[in-house]
Amino acid sequence: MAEYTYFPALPADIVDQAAGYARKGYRLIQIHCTNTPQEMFIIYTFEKEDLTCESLRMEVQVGDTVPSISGDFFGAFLYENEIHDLYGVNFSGMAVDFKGTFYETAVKQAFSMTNTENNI
Amino acid sequence: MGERTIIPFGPQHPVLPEPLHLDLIMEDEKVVGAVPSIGFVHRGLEKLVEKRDFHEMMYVIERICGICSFIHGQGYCQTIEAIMGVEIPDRAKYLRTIWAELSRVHSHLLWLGLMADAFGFESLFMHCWRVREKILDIFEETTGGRVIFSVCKVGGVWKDINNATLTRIVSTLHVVEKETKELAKVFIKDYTVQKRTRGVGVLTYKEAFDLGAVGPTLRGSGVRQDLRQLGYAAYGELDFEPVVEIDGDCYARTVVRVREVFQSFDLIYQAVGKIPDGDIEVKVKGNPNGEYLSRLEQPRGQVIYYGKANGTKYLDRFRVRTPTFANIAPLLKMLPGADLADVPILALTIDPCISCTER
Repeated sequence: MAEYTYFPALPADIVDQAAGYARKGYRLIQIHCTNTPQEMFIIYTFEKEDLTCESLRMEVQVGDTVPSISGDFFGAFLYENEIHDLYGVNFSGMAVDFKGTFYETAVKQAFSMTNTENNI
Repeated sequence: MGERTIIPFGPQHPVLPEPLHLDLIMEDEKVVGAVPSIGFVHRGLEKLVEKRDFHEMMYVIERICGICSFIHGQGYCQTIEAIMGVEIPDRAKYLRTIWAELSRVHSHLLWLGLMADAFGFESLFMHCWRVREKILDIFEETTGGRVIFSVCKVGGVWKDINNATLTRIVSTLHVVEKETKELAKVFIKDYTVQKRTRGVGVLTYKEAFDLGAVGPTLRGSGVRQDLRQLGYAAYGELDFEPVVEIDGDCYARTVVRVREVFQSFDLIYQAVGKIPDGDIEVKVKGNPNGEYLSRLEQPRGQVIYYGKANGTKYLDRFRVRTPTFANIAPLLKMLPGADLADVPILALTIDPCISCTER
């Protein structure tokens, strides 16, 4: 199985870094957010046609605003709206902004909370 | 330019098998744009990793979808095994491959039936599903389940299939293959089918790749990419080439699925011919600690699993990026220019699985 490398990213640079991947022939295959009680990251994964794969890892906090990469990768708006609704991270300049209505969840930002906070 | 109107399409619609909503922006009968809405039934299953230990979580992940259930379980197990550095026995790898390819056959036959129903061939729809029943019977015989199998486990598989049963399965599949060839003729050669699907919803090679299309939607546009080429499970020891069509329209995506059914038969025959004797599981000790991102080829296309573990029996995060989620952006590109009457067929050609998407 393939191993994957995570490169660091910052919100201020993410659009340029994504554009760099687009120029090198990569496409976006996923963005997701992952959190622990101590830290929260957004991970962007890019893939070439030959299936080689690279990921960027960006540390964020609930309520942060991160520039959207949907200018270079149109499909990014779906992942960004998902992260906004489940984790409470904002994205500026999304191709389509659902303004918090992408997922009809009973609890807002349900995935950004710990077990105790959302009482599951 | 005609007057623009917006037609809400779905989530409840006679031709839609899944609750997908599209706001279709129309000029007369032509679609000029579309805005998707999903999230009506989002279940938040990924969050359950905080309440179910990493062994139990396999059964939750399998329940993401009733059609892709086996490969969801396989992908979850592969991810956890990679984090823990567990190498499963070769026989387990082959068994996983056989069940995964049977899943692809039953998923594609299900889809072909739905497609036949969408363009009005009701008998063809019933024949596709009749043939598919034999695959479900094989699942029932080998796993005990027809929808949820629960045979994958971290470290291998729960159940073996003895060699006599494997031989009998191959005999059954030869019959299924013969019947499927008869059905395939209609999908590939029928005049009406071609009139409804050729030149409809064209996605170019570059659009398909750049927009993140996966599976038959990607390969129908000429992109030679299939995650089984990574060689996971037993695929590294089997001969196959990605099935590719170049026209990028609804017909091409249909033909890719038809041809992939026969490719799956061939892969199963190869796997049964090469499966080694031996154990079907290894003992897994301790808890996972670390993270891993794995990619597999579902019937609908590339699926991505990400696991992050902290050394306890509960994971910090498990993420599933489903093929349908990846194919929504390409769908939005296919729709402009299509007639309203073609939208149901066009939407169907990405093989939407909202159950997976609303994991």
